[in-house]
Amino acid sequence: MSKIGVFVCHCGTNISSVVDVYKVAEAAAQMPGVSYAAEYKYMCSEPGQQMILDAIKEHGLNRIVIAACSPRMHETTFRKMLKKSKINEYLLEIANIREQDAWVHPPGEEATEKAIDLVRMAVAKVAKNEPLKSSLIPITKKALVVGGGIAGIQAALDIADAGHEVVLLEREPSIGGRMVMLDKTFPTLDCSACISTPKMVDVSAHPNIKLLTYAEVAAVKGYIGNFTVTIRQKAKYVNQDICTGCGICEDKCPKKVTSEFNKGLSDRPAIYKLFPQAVPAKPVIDRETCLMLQNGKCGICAKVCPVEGCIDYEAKDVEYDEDFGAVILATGYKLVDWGGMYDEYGAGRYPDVIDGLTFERLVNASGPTEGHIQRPSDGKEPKTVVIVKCVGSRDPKKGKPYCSRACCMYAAKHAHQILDKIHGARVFIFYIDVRTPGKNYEEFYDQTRKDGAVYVRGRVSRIYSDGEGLVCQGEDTLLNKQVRVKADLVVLETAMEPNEGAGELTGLFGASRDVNGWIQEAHPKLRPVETQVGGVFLAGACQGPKDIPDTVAQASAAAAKVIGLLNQDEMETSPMIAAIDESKCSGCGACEPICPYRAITLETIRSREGRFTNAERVIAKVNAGLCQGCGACTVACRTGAIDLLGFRNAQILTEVDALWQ
Amino acid sequence: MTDQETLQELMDKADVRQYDCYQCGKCSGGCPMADAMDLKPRGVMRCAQVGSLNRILNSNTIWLCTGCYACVDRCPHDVNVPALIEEARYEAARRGIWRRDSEVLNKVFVANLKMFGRNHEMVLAGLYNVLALKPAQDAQSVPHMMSKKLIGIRPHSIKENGELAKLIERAESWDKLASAPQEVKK
Repeated sequence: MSKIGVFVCHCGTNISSVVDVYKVAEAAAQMPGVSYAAEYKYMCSEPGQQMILDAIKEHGLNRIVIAACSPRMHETTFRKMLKKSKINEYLLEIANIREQDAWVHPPGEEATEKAIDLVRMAVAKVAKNEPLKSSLIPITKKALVVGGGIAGIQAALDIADAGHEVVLLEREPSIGGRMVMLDKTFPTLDCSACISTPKMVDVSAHPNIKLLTYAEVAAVKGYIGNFTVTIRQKAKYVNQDICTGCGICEDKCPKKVTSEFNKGLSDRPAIYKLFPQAVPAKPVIDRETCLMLQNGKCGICAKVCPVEGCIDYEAKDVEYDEDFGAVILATGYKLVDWGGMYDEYGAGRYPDVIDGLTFERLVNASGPTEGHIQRPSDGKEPKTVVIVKCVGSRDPKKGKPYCSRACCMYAAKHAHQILDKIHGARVFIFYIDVRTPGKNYEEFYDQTRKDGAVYVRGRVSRIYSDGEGLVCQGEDTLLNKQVRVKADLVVLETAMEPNEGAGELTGLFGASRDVNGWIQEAHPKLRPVETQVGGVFLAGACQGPKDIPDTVAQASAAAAKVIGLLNQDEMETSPMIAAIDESKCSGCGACEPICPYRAITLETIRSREGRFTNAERVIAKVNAGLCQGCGACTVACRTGAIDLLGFRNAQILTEVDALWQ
Repeated sequence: MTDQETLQELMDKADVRQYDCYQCGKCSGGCPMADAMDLKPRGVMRCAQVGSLNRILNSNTIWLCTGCYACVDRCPHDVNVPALIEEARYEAARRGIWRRDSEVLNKVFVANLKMFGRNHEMVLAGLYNVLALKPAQDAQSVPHMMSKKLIGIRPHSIKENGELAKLIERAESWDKLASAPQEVKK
């Protein structure tokens, strides 16, 4: 016999100014199964909750309906409250009379009627609710961080400092990511390498961090607290345990290929470290270009290597499984290939039209020109430099619809560096808007203009060569005049886009991506570092364009989430998940591909089928750790064998029936 | 119909929306005619955004736009400025807003076509300069253009020369600019 208590909330005047809450409470008291109904100013407040708990005791209530705001707002609050009573916390229903009624309707009879209807539905459903119990799953106390850029480094250090084991996985031969490629960082102009390399060294020296470079994620199984990740360690061909990092092999290697790290401005050998301060500071052999590995002829590095047996051309890729409790994706960004997008900018025909990252290498003291700004075509020092912003950004037709966020600031920084390093240089920055929302950012922009950078409002329309040099043509929209600037060097501040392979990796973990390919956060405001998949978090520019301060902040936030998870020995799972009635399941498998969390698997069981006592048949099984209770499978199930606990088909039908009573 | 409504009608016909333009100026930056225009393509869009139809109709822009579509190609939001300019041209004609030089050029150009079946640049330039009272305009370019054979004395005619003239005359017999252009469009 259900004894339902209905509690109607005024929500200050949010609800009561539109809905006659007293009338709702009166009507609720008459509904079948309801033995007590009341209203109160703020149900979620301390006295409000106490009032409910008192009523439960006094009237012996065994099911509760609260007519208030959205369950997304306070369902958890009231569930926690019920833990203090004898009532199971799932014998609770929320009638949303705020978002679905008071906020969207004018005051009056009809709004009150709708509130009563909503309460009646909730009352009907709660009578059918069944007590649910959350189960406990164990947690592997080890985290995996994918991506060794500044986001991954920061997250790994934070988790390791909290006392948990971390594996930091990076596919390049060294960690460091984009940040070590930069020369200086805005707005403080501190040397990027000087502040990031100590962190890289910390990572390699930390007792709780296992650093895996030149490695990739091959496969992922499991769920929050219990991931099994297959890691593919690419063959480095250099025994990392005995290599001293002396560098003789790199000097003697006869094969030279274009350096990706220096954005094609210089060459590197086939046996190489990514950059001099690489961590680990030991070379790897690039098997695609090594003469020995390709043709079997050369072997010079093995001959010059002073450590016996250090270089092993027979090394193979190794795959192995490792268990983790939590994962942070920190796969970062790359710059768009502007050449393929913008014919009007020369489509890459002019060597002196470069992107921002190339400029960073050009101006970097440890770069190929040792920090002297020399244009790529003839090595001359440019006197007039044009910087073009929003190349590929804010361009839904040819590029990306979004703003890449960091370009305004690094454009100002580039201008500052040019004016600082080249005496008598002139810098023109073509912009549409200057966006400087960050601590000390506007001040930095001011300083750049004081330094002498000329800001021209207008998007460059065309870059062409007039035979003598490059000409940038655009409109100065503030002068209302077409302008042409002869430039020795043009720097295009290009848009950021998700890194190579980020899509496949996200897919392996079952997380989703937005229309632009960035990894989707669980909630844009309230859960910014979580993905929709439990136990998989994100940090840095893999979520969207970000500058370094924001990346580091987000990495620490993701680390905090992981630490919170790993600090528990076991965790509660939501009991509102799919349940399969084995007697009804036909094993058709329709639910399996539909599940977005890959929680459903088909299993063969033996059971009694009619006269067969030991018949073999296939049924679907739900993994309680993976299931997020979305309900997609219940719709797909042809035999109606799947029900969502807490939202059983029968319960929802009761609600619908109640609406028409 | 108010100017505001007329403008909206022109915008709808041209399939151009005010909110698509964020005034980056890439259109004007690359426009080959921008130097001569009093209102550049971005300016046309700005006028459309703030509802000054008269400024568009009285600009020389609508008569100077060559319809090369460089602006549309480069526009990040694919705003079709030439289509709007074309609609504005019809509206200006309907309202009798002609610029003397545009009118002269129009007449000389059509007369030229009737005569030769195709445009003869020397005749066009000569007649235009005289009638527009700018006798020496662009005279300095003549030797260069002649040496490169961009223009010549001898006219080039087409086969069955009279046919095009007949077509043009038939078009001219329509009620001038009242209905014909709208039907022709789209």
